[in-house]
Amino acid sequence: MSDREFQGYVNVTQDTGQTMFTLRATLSSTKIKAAIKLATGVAVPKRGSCHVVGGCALAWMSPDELLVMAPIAQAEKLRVSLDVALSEEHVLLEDVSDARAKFILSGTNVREVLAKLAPMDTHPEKFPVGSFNRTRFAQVAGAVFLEQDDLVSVICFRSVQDYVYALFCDAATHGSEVLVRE
Amino acid sequence: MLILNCPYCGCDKDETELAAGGEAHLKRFGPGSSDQDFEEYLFERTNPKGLHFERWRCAFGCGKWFHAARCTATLEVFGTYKAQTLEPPKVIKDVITTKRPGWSWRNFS
Repeated sequence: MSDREFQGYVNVTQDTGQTMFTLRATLSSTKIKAAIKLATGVAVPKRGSCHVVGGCALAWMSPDELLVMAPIAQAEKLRVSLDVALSEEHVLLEDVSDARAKFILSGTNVREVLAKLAPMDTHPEKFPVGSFNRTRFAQVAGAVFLEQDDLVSVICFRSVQDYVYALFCDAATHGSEVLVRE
Repeated sequence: MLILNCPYCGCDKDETELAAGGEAHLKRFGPGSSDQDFEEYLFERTNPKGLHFERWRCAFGCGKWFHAARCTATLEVFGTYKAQTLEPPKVIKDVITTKRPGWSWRNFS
């Protein structure tokens, strides 16, 4: 699937250049946290947030689960370094790149487009830059990462990627703005 | 519309993001228990109008089960707490005592 793009009052782009790993581990363990940081170069994020260093991102999925994201070119190296760093620990590391899809929304009104589709509070006080939230887009599960005030990553299952892409394109269509901004 | 704060995610979740799990603090009677205990465990549920303790799952979020204390008549939420407990924590009980003095639910009060 090639990258597709939609131009609306918020732009929607599919990013197919990402690899994703699910990492389940006891994230309260300082030993495990140190090993993850050693392998990825990224500090384990606090709940509800995502850290990015040099293209590699760690997102908080649940008290015992992280989502590791990186450019596809780094996938093999990342996999090996995580395997080595966590070889002594009881963890689960699985490549889920082919099970997930990632979209990028950009534009000043990204919060509004998110609010149209997800039952979450997108106000800057409740959802500041760096936040990561697992929620629901219309009928399917998904996750949101607010990278910048006008840049959002949306992650969903690949089996529903066409549905999610169509949802966001529809919500971002010119003329469907809810708030009029000067 | 019910909004519960998931104690694992630490953020508010809409009812549509959650899965209801029925009455909380049940004691399981499995193999080896008497027929009556098993029947009560399986079928007998309190269905109060007012204060109730329930199990909820953060289905579209972290996937964890948690407990909620709320009023079934007014939908007021007294608090949510993690599931790794046999009874409601004191902070939750104190909130309920403030708002519903003299409350009782099953053997808790």
